[in-house]
Amino acid sequence: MKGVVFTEFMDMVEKQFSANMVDDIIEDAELPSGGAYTAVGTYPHGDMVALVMALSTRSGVAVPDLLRTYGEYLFVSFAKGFPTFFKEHDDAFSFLAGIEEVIHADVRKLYPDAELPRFDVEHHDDRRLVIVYSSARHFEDLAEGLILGCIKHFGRTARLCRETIGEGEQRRERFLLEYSCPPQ
Amino acid sequence: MTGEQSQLSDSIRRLTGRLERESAARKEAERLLEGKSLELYRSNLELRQLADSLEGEVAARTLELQGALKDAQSANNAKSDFLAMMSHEIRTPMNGIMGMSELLELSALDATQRDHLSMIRKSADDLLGLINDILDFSKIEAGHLSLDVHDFDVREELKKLTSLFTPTVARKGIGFAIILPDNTPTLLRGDSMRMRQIFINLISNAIKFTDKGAITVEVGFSEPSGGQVRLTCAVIDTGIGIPEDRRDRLFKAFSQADVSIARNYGGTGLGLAISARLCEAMGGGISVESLVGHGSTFRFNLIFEPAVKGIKSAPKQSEKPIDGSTALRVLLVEDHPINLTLAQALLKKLGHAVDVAVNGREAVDLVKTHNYDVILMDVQMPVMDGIAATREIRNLALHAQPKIIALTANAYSRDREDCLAAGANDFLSKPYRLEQLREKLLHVSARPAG
Repeated sequence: MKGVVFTEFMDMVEKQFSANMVDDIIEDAELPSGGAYTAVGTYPHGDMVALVMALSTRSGVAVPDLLRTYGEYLFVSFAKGFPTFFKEHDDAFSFLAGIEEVIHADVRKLYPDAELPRFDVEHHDDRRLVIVYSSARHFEDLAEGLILGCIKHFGRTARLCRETIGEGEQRRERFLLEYSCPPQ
Repeated sequence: MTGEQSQLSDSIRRLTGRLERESAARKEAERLLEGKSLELYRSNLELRQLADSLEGEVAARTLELQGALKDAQSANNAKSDFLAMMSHEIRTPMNGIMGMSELLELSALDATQRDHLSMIRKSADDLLGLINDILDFSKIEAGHLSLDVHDFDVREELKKLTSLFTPTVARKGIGFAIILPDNTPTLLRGDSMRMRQIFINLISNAIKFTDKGAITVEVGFSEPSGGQVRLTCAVIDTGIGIPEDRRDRLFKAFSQADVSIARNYGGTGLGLAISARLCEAMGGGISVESLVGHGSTFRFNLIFEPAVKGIKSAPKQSEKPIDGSTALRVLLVEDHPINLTLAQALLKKLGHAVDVAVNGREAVDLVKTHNYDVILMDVQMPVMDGIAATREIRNLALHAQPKIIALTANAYSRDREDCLAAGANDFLSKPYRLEQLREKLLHVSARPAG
């Protein structure tokens, strides 16, 4: 998992909770790395799971809610950090539909061995977007948070439904999105 | 430990932990950065090596191509040199063939033999023309074309063209005119010989392909800039015309519009290629318009400089004897047109003034009214032969008797004796060369009259 996911997570915890909370969950999670993360590094996915679970325990907020919230937060910092990806887009659906071909393609240029989730577009028109998330990490909730953050970023509201398709290693999550009102 | 103290130590522990994490993260980032830098450096190096090797390859290829180009050029030069040499080698025996058939013509022949001989001469003339064209073209191709620039009388040159073609067009029964504008300059500076060659090529072609109607040569002059004079010319015929798809090949070497043309009309197809190159060399160009069945118009233009000193002194110079002695007044008595022309040309080349008589009778009449230093007297002539004419001249009561040199086709001693007995001072056997004629004239004019 890319280091930026960790560093942004620590930022969120510090802002939403406190710096002490960061210290505490790192201690609780008993991480082999000792909780020292850099954005340009790559770290075990298990570290993130342990950190989120530690935060849930300490804060009393359920893991899925924490991941969704973090997803929204992460999207905002992506939008700040990589404005070039947003130049071509004025619509959340078209941005989401281009993640695989535009953004992930660029990420692979810098990190050829990055293990990225897949976002396959099943349907895309002005009103509706059907996108399938697949990742061995199964951070479906984080993905949902990112999608919600994206829709907010472009200033629209949309209805979001999700369903799990397939089983075992084939298990994936389908997101169905529909704009609730026409563009302003 | 008080609560405050324990709170403080907790804070210190947390801060130390954060510092340690930050420091570890920084070191990790630095390590990663170093790795990435090294990777970048290596791929840069690879790129540079690739670029270098590409550059080397391009340089090698360029060198190779330059070599190939040089080879091709030298092969082309070798071809031109070979052509030039061959043409020259062929010309030498050609002179033999032509000279000998000329001599043969002077001997007693029956009508059939004379007919055959004239065909031999015609073929030899054609062959020589062909060889001259090839030689000329290979010279131009090899880049050895140099223009002989001098002042010349443009009206005079064009007038000569009219008289050159008049017999041919008269024979074919077609019209022929060279039209000069009012603003025709008197003198121009350029290569009159090459200009004449272009005119001759185009007019001969026009005549060749025109069976009825007329050939019109329209000449114009304009002054583009800097005192230069542009001669424009249109050679308009009413001949067979040239199909459109064959026009652009016309000016390429050995590419007549149709192979059947070579069969029906003869020629090498070099005339137009040579003309095109001459036009380019003289700052102009050549083009053609044509309507099949109605005729063709060849247009060309040439750039001339304004004349500087007047007529080049070279032709006048030849009027002075080349050995420095004084010019002689010479009467040339000769019935054969080719020999007449030849002897006339040689005498003029030596700088002497020449009058011409075509038999002994005319010669005697001229001697009565003109003063001559030397008479070149052919022996075998119709109306009155050379020996009879010599005898009659010697019997005339002249203020000063001319020297008489008998011209004999063969050097039999009986002929020589007959001539000397009739009153000739000397004799010259044909064919003679310029040097022989010069010596004989010098020799004879130095002696007192006989």
